[in-house]
Amino acid sequence: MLGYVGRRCLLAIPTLFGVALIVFALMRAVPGDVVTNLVGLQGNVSQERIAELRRMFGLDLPVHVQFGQWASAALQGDLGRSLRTGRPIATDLALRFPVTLELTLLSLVVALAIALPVGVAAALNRGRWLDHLGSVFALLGLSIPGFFLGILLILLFSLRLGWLPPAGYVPLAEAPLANLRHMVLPALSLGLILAAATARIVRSTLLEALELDFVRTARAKGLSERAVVLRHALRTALIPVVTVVGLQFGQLLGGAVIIEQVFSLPGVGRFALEGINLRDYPVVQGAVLLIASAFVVVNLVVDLLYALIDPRVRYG
Amino acid sequence: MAEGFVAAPGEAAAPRGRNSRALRVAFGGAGGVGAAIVAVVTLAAVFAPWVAPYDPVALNPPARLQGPSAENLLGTDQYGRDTLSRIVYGGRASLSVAGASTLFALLVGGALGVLAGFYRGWVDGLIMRVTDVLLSFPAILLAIALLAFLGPGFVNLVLAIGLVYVGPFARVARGAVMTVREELFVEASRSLGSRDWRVLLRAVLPAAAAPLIVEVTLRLAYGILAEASLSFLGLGTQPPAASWGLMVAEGRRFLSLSPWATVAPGLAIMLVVLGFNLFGDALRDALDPRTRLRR
Repeated sequence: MLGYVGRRCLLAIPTLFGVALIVFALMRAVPGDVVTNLVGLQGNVSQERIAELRRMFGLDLPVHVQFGQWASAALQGDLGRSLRTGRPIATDLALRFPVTLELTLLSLVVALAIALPVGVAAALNRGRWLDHLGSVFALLGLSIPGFFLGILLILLFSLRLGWLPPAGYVPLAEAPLANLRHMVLPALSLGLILAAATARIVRSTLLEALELDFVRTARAKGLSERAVVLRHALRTALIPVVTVVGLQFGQLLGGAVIIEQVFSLPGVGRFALEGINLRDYPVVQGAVLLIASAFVVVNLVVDLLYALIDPRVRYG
Repeated sequence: MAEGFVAAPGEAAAPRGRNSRALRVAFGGAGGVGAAIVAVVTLAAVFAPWVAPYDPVALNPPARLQGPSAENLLGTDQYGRDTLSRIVYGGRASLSVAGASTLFALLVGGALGVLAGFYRGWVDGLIMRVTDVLLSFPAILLAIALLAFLGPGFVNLVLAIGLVYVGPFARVARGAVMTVREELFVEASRSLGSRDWRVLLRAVLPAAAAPLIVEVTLRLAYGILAEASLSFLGLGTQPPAASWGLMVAEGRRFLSLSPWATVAPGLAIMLVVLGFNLFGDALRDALDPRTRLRR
């Protein structure tokens, strides 16, 4: 097991390196270059200021040196400073990451709380109306864009019924209840969509598990249907579900960018979008690097979890 | 001539029988509904000038934020522009971006995957490492990041969404090629002295086509969602052009006054994506009998 953990962790290093390389390359993908682009916005800027900005971005150095400096600084937690506010980007990201993390975790809870019962009910009622209802739910969930679901929820629960706030954020530490009230709709918008995809998988893996020999044995020895399903079949069925949910959790980080915008939540995604609108390139770079790295780490954790619950993986 | 020697008529007809069964699965039932939705929306977008009742960018301030009426079937937006006409024209942005980016991903990703699966070795290793890195970004984030630095515009939008889906296409193509490369007919083509590219084009590619076709329909659904999301964020199609995601974003500010300008384009996105999903699922069942058993 330790050997597997070691190997898998080592494998994450070239991936992280590749991610860093792409994020670094993005800055160089700006038409012209970053400095001419920024200067173009402000009109008359002296040649000295332009040279100074070039030095600040390290554009006067060879590319591989630029990457080396940038990557080693990033490894030490230095992501540079915002062009607009002058604040260290790492500090701002540290303030905003908990918001994004809370949103994704709550969405995951919503997704599982809905997907497990829906998927199990659909599998046990295969071909009947409950199953069809489940399929319709899954198809609608796969077809609705997250931002539109969010707006529909705002329309219903905030504007029509007035039950929940349409936007805004209260820190969890300040007022946990108010924080939750602000998080319900965003978490639902993100979680319902993940629930749709997950319910489909729970259903199909449970159906497969129900046909396995040991389930027949469990039935034959007279266990109640409830025990057969919950204690035997579902446990086996959940193994692939863990992988898929884990991978989806990473995608939630991407979806959070959009949902944060819909509900004005001050998370990493909104920070990145503000950076984009202000052409604050280092901010965008830092935020993208953070989310992508988190994604790599989540995938790593999922793989390790998978090896933990399914011993075959370790030796495969 | 002995009876048994001549290929029985039934035998020759067998593939056709299989194809018609596949067609029935793909276009019958829900798949047919999906295909019909996609066809209607595509036709409406192509023939937008004849279908749309009004000019999509014609302002009419006195009639702004109206609900549905006989003149404006889906109401008007904050500038008095007809929502239905904008949805019809908006289909052009959504479908063309989704189509072009899927085509890009199919050509680039498909080619990379076929090369990787056919040659194996270091080519395979290199290509798979590159797609691994592309896949280690949340899809929408990579597209957002690319647009943030490239700037908006049709070509950049297509590139951003297309690049994101190069990885999945490469994987599907590679997997398909690897299952057929050891098959007898590939071996046969090789032993007849065909060059690599001929073996690839004539023997390998047709066999790998089915999973790629399924992937195309499902990626088109994602492409529509991606274009809508990026336009919603202001990174995709730019005003005053009509795009469904952009319309949702613009109408949103007047949600309490007139929800129609927001809800109608949102429903349009949902409907088309649903169409592609229904059709893609049915197509997958038709082309790969194994998945059908599991449903």
